[in-house]
Parts: sequence; structure tokens; C-alpha cells
Amino acid sequence: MVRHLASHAAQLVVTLLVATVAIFVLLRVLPGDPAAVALGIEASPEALAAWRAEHGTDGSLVVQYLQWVGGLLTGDLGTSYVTSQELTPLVADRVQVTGILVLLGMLIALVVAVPVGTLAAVWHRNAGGVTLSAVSQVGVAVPNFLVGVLLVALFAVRLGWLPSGGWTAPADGLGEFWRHVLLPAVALGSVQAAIITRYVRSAVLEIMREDFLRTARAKGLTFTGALVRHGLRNAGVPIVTVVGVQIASMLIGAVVIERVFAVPGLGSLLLDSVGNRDLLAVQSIVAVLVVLVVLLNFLVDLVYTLLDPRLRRAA
Amino acid sequence: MSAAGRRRPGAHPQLVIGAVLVGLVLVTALVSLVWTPYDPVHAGAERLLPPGAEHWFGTDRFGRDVFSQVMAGAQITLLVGLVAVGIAALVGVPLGVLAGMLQGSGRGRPAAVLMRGTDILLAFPGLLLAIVLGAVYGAGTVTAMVALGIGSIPAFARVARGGTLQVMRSDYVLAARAANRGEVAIAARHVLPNIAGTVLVQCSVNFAIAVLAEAGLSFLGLGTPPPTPSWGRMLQESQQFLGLADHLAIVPGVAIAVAVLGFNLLGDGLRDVLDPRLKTEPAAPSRVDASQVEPPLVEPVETPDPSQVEPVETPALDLRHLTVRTTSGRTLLDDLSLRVAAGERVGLIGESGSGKTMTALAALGLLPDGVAATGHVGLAGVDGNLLDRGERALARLRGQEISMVFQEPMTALNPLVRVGHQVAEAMTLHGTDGRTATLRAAELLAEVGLPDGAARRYPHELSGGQRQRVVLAMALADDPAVLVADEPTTALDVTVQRQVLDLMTRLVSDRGAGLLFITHDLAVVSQVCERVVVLLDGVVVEEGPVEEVFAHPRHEYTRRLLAASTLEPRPSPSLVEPVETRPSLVEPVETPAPLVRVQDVTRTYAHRGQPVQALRGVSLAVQEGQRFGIVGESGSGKSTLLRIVAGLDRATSGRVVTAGVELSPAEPRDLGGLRSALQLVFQDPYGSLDPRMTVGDIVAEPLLNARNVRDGGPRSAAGRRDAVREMLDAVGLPLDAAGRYPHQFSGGQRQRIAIARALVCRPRILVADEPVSALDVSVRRQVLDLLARLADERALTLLLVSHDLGVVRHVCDHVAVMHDGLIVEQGPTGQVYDDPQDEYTRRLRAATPQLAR
Repeated sequence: MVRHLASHAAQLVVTLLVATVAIFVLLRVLPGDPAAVALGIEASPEALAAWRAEHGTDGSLVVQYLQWVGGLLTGDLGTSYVTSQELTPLVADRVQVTGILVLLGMLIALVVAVPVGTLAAVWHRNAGGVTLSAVSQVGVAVPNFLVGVLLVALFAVRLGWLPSGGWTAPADGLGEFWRHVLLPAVALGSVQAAIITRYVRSAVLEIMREDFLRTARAKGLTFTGALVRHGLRNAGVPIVTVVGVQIASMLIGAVVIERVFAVPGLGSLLLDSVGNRDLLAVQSIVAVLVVLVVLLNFLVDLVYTLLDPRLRRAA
Repeated sequence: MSAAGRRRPGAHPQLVIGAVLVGLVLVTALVSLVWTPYDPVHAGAERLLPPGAEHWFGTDRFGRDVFSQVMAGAQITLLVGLVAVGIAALVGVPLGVLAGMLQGSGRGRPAAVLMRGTDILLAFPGLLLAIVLGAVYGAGTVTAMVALGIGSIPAFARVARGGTLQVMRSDYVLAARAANRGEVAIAARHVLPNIAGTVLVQCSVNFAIAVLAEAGLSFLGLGTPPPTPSWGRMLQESQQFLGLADHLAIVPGVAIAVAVLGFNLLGDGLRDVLDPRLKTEPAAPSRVDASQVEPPLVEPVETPDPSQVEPVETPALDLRHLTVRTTSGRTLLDDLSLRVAAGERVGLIGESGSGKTMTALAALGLLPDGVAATGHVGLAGVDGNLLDRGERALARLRGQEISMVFQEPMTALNPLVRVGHQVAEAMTLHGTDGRTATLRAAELLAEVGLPDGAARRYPHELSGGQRQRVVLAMALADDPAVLVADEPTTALDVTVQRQVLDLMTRLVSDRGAGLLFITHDLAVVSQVCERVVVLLDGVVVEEGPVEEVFAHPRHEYTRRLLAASTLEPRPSPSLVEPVETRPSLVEPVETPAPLVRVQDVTRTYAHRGQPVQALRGVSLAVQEGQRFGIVGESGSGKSTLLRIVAGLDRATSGRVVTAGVELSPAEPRDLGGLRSALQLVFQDPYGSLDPRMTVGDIVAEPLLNARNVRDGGPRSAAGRRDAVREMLDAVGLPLDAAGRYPHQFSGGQRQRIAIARALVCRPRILVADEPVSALDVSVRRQVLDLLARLADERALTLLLVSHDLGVVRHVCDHVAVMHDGLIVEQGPTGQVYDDPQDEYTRRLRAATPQLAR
């Protein structure tokens, strides 16, 4: 198991290395001199040189890459070219907002998807199961921002129960926090619920065909008992993978929901930075997102190994 | 795919609905190119009109017709989807196929590097990539398409790699290799056609993802710039009019959902159509080879109906007039009556498809969905008919009163739970407290002969035989009155089978329990059971005491089964004669050199980083015209040896010469000459024929490489057709077989096809790896006799590997016995069989079940 993890960790490091180089090339090297981008073509050579010195873009590209990665490792994301703000506290703040949104969304999704997906599998031959399956199929097809827009139309505009957007941090008042977080989390979670329902259904269907479930029934468990005691944990192995992958995709997908609800998350920051052509900020935010995605994949591997003793032996 | 492999499209509503929705989007996009009700780009009406007769979906804030905009928006949606999926498929599929083929041919390292490389892209989901590229190069249609395409490359690479690996591991690729086909030919003829379906499914599903992502990007203002209509931007612009004009949000939202739903359903439907598990069954079960003229079955022999006979005592298990039907009306079991008295051991014999497993499952109330039983199932001490009980009431009886051991020990246990716990659960479920159950479980595991500490093991840490012992311990934990064992040792090696059978017989008689023992193996029944019931196509054709039925079978089928089960030894081994029949091919030398020579061969490979010695110094010599058998249990190294002799694997050290071709590790390999001299037949007749090729193409494949054919062979297509026809005739298949597909044939017939493919180039050596172990008893004999006849007619040298001493004795004149990577004994078959010198050979012989008659 140690070797298994070590090899995965090594892979993680290589992936991160390649990914940061790719980000650096894409956002720092290809667009050309950031000083010229910031000051325009008319700028004097002296002004350009001063800008480069101020923002540390006067060294060689290799040095700049190393400085940037070194900064990432020590938690220093640099200073925005445009607003001259320190990026680290800003990004940290935004990661928190997006993180809350994503985790809450996933929680909502799982609470719905696990029972519904299981029922859809158990009832797969009758009308109930087919209906659940069809509903989830439609749910997968609905874009989450449409759900967001419709939720706003109903609960904010028509009924006026909840604010149509904005954000309150939990520290600034739990009541307001919940009022603001509810709609975006539901919008994000409902589509995920549909997606995960389909995975749960197919995992449970797969498990229902397994011989060991029949063995469990042969020794005296009812079908339901066998499914709960022996089936669900086995079905859990593939579901954990999906949840990991989906959390990663929600981190990015939250961009759109944040836009709908004007939530100041990481995605909004990324879009604003793109709009301002603040390439260093884009570069650092993308790096943070990529690190999160890669770490999540690693975590999934870890949980996978813990759930399945067959993988533990690989040491 | 063949016509018969398809199901009616109506059976797949998903596919139909998906195709209709996708078609709708497609037609809309095409129509909008030439016509929309109003100009989608320029305003021409009042602003924010609600849906009405004039403007079906109303107008937007500029007074543009929403319906026209939605129609035109379909264009950009389809364009982005098409290009994105195109990029992903064109890059991802070749990468995946390459990685799969590399790994499938033993070059795992470059394959892993390739896949890790594409995996890095997983860190950049399409949406993120689109935002980044948008930041650098400016947002727009092209940026979106390219970013979404690149982001989907890993998904395609993975799917293609998985499919390719599966194809590369199949025997039909091995057969193509043995027929000297190059990697490119294998990729084109076998890999691509077989993964095409999966890739198509991925295309459809990915199209849906691209449509969603494009809408998201447009919504963020990073997609197609205005004024080109796009669904995502329409939605985004609708936000400020929520409450005023909700239709502005709903109409494009529904359009997106319809497109995504359509592509998803299409993908799911295609997957169902292509899933081999859901394919229609072959026309006939493989019980009897259609190629053999079959005597008409006579009516069942008059056996007294056990339900009518006065019961001597209450039977432990009482099945009366049991009939099992599928919901579609097919009868699997017809009016079966059977009793097992307390302490009695009854054998239920039948070939595949006879309904014997259905009998067992019906007795325990474990019938699968879509199958229902009528009649009566009674248990001693339990009132009424078990078939009338609900699942909860049945569950109380299972394990307690009646329990079961299954055929496949590798999958019968929950892989995530320690075996001790699984055994203990059988007791706690019926009221034993946890602590007692745990102690008792350890005792039981010791009783079935497992080592100390086995209770704390997980199933994967135990061998097949050990797992079957665990299942046995579990089944007997609550001292049930009846044990049903369904082919409990079929998956086990002969020596292990013997131990498990002995153990089971002992445990059952210790407990005075009744045993219903289900098997296809008559010899095993004669050892284990007192009474036997013979099942044919769901009907009991004969029953009685074992000695009586086996000595004086009354039913034609029983007689045939008995005849087929007794493989008499090959008459007189004659080494000289075959050599003389082909004088032109043998160099006139003093002592003929052996056709196959293996000297001190070892083979070591790495398994999970540990070196495993499959062969530990093996030597043998096969003379021209000899029929050489290799016998051994799983893990003995017999298949490895075979692959090395056939040039499909390389020895680690030692010397191998086959048909004059040097295959030793140090030599550069030139297998061209070998391929014309040696061909193979594999074990699994279902996996060794490419399901997407006609039988004619399969048999003709070796002819496509002229080097395979010694005299040049038929060059023209017509010549190849003649050769195929002649070969099909020689193996006893009808002439129209050439135009059909493998799934239309039974197991025995498929094995005949495989033999035809192997012999079409007239090789000198035929290598057969367990050619009959997947076949039913009655078919087994026919295929063996066909092999023997062809070997005689064509002066073949036969190299046959089997786990079954009887099979080798029936066909071969010389045998080598393998154990743990060594040949422990070899010599003339009769001599080795009748007077084994090695201790292991003796053990193997003693363990082989004999049909007592």
C-alpha cells in the first residue's frame, strides 16, 4: 500500500509540474511582454523597464517560472498587475466561498442521489424505476445555470422569499449566510444529483448481478438486507470515484452559478481577471484550481484504496 | 454486426427517443440555414412580446423573434459540438489505440507514459481551458471549440485504450498473430471494428457535454460573440427580464435540454444495443452439435412419479411438479418432481441449458428477475409450499433449513469483508449472538481445513479451493437439513476437486443432511451420490440409483451421455506410421530430428513487482507425427510452455526449436517460417472468433499472408473461397456457414470453426490449448474425435494441452505431466497412466473421477 501511494504521489508531483509549466507557457510566455500589455504600445522604454522591475518580469523566463512556482509553494501568489492587490488573501477568501458552495451542493446531491439511484436500480423493471431513471436523465440535460435562473425567477422575483444574489460570509451572520447560499447551492446540487443518481443506479445494478449477493441471500438475508449489508459498500467504490471527479468539475462549473447569483467566488474572480486582462491573476487562479483538481483526484485514489482491501495488498 | 445480433429498434426506446431529439435539432439547424420565420438578428417587432400567434415564442428586448433565434442558435450548438468531438476523437482515439496495442503486446511502459501524458489534461477541464484560452487569444467560437475538444481528449483516449486492451487480450488476436498478421492489419481488421461502437457511444455522450459547455461559455460571454444567436447567451440576456418575460429564459433553456437529452439518450441507447451482455442468445444451446445427425429423442422412460409413490418418510426436500418459465413464456423446467430424503445424496445431471441451476434456485427461492416457478417446494418440518412464501419468510429458512454452494468460488464471496465475518453472519442472521458466532466461525473454518487465522483473511487472499471451503462452511454453519450444491467443484483443479468433494460428503453425512448435487460430470456423481436424476431440456428423462442407471441406462439420452463421458484410451500408440505417410517432407537423415525440441527452458515474469517462475527448466522433444499431450493443473506452466513453443511468448533462458525455426531467447526472431508450420486452437470457443467477422473471413484470414502457405496457396479471392469451403466441409460444418457470424453457432461448432482456421494453411503442427474444456460432455467427444481424425488424415503432429488426463489418454500417444513449472514425468500415455512413477502423477490419477459402472 505504501508503494502504491508513493507511486501515486510521484505521479501527482509530475502532473503538477507539467501542469504549471503548461499554465506558465500559456499565460506568461505566449501572450508576450506583460509590461507592453499593461502599459500599451505607446509606453516609453523607461516606463516599460520600470514596470518590469516592479513586477519582477525582467529576469529570464526560467527564473520567472521558478519564482512563480516557489511563490505558489510558499503560498505567495504575487501581486495583481492591474489592481496591485496582494493575490493570496484575495484568492484564499474566494476559495472559501466557492468551497462552501461546492461542498454544500455535493451534500445536497448525495442526499438525493444515493437513495433515488438505489431505488431506481432496485425497481429497474417496473414503472417506478423507469420514471426515476427518466427524471434523472432529463435532470442531467438541464444546464445548472438554467436551474439557477428559474430559481431566481421563482423564489426571488415572484415570491420574494430569498435574495436573488450576493453573499454573506458565515462569520457575518448565519441567517443571512443561509439565505444567500441556499439558492446557488441548490442550483449547483440539483443537476449533480441527477448525474450522480445515474451513476448510483448503474453501480447498484452492477452489484445486483454479483454472485456474492446471491450467496448472502442463500445464508438467510432478504434481498433488501443483502443489498444494504453487502451491496452498497461494494457499489460505494465506483461512486466515490464519481463524487471526486464531480467535485472537481463543480469547482470549475461553479463559475457559471457564481455569475448567476453574483457570488464573489473563485470563478467570479477568474472571470473578472480575464476581463481586466490581469494575466498574473489568471495564471495564479488557474494554478490554484488545477492543484485542487489534481489533489482531489489523488484523494479519490486514497479513499478507493481504503475501501477496497484488494488494492491494499498491492504493497 | 450481423442482422441476427440486432434487436428490434423498438426494444430500445432510449435509442429511438434520442435519435428523434437529435434529428429534431439537426433538422432545425439545417432549415434555419435557408429559412426562419423572421430575421433572427435584426429587430422587426415590438419588444418583449409574450408568446402568441404572430411570434410563437415571443420577442426579446430588441424585438427580435425568439423562435427564429432559437432555430438559428442550433447551428452554433451543433458546430461547436461537432468540432469539439471531432478534435477529441481524432486525437484521443489513436492515442488510446496505440497505448492499448502497446500494452496488449507487452510494452506496458511506453503505454503507461502515453496514458499519463493524456491524463495530465484531466487537470484542465474543458471549461477552464476555454476561459484560459479566451483570456489569451480572445473569446470566440473557435476558442471554445478547440478548448472543449482538447479537454475531452483524455476521455476518448481512455475509452479507446480500454476497448483496445480488451480486444488485444482476446484469443482471436492471438490467432491473428499466429497467422502472421502484422500490427497494422490487426488494428484495422480486429481492433477498430470492435471498438467502433464504444467510440460512437463516447461521441454521443461527449456531444452532450460539449453542448452544455458551449451554452455555459456563451452564458459567461466567452462563447460566440453577438449578434450570432446562441442559446447560452439568450439565457444570459434573459436574466434582467425575469418576472417580466420568463419565456426568454425558458425557451433557450428547453432547447439546450432537448439537445443534451437527445445526445445522452442516443449514447445510452447505443450502449445498450452494443452491450454483449444484452445481445440475443445464440439460436440453440450448445448441448448437441447440429453437425452430427442426432437420433430422435424417445419419450421419457416410464419412471414412477415420485409424488405419486407413497413416501417412506417425509423427505428433507420435496419438489413436486416444479415448472419454471420466463416471463416471455419460455419453459426452462417442465414438471420436475424430485425428493431428497434426510441423509440422502441425490445427483442432478444435465448439460448446459438443461435447467439444473434453475431447479436449485427455485428450491431456495432465489430465481432471478423475469423467471417464475409454479408447483410445490416442500421442506421437512416446514409447513406449506415454499413458492407461496414471501422473501422475508424465505430468508428465515435459507441458511437455516436449506442452503447452497455455488459454482464460482472466485465471485461468491463479498470481496470487501473478511471471510470469518461472512461465515459468522450466516449464524447471527438466525439468532446466534455475535461472540458465539465469531468463535463458531473460526471452528467451522478449521473444520473445512483452512489454516489458523483464515477468518481474518479477505477472499482475494485465498485460493479458489479455499474460497469454496469458506462457502461450504457458511452453508453448513446452521446445520441445514438440505444442502444444494450447484457444480461446486467445476471451477477447481482435479486434485482440489477431490478434496472438496470428500470434505463435502463427510460434512453432509456427519450432519445427516440431504444433499442435492448438481453437475454435468457423471464421474463425479458416481462418486458422490446414491441416486441420480437426469435432466434434458428441462425434463427429467430418467432417475434411479446411481449403479442401476449407469449400468443399465434406459433412456437414449442417458446412454449417449454415458458413452460420451467414457473416453477410452487411444488404441495402440504407433509412432512409426505417420512418419511414413509424408516421406516428401522429411529430410532423408539417419535419425529424424524432433519437430519440436525444448531444452532447459525457463520463463520468469514480473507480477506486481514480484518475479514469478512459470517454467523452471523444462525439456521435451516431439517427433513428427506424434500426438503429444501435456497434462497439468492451473498454474503448472502448461499454457506458458505452449505459447513459447508456438512463438507467441519468449523463454527467459534455454533453447526452443519448432519445425526448424530457432525460438531461443538469444536468437533474432523470424516467425514467418514457423507460422506456416504451426497453428493453434484455443480453449474458449466464444472468445477465439472475432464476433464481427463472418465465419468465411475468419477461416480465410491465415491465407491472407502468403508466407503462411507453403506452396504459395490460393492467391485469388475465389481460390481462398474454395479453400475455406473445403475446410468447413472437412470439419463437418454446413457450407452456408461461411456467410454467417460466430454467435449463430453453438460452442462445439465454434470450436470446429477454430479448427478449420488453424488447418486452412495445412500446417505440420497443430497446437490445441484445452480445446474441449469449455464444451459439454456430448460435444467434447465429437470435437476430440474430429481432432484425432484430422490429425490422421493430414499427417499432423498434435500438441494438446489439457487438465484432464482422460482427454489426453483418449487422443495422445505420448504425455508429459507438468507440476509447478516442471515436467515431473513423461512417456507413452498408457505407461504413464497405468504405471505412474512420480508421486504427483499418482495423486493426479487418483483424484481424477472415474465413472463407476
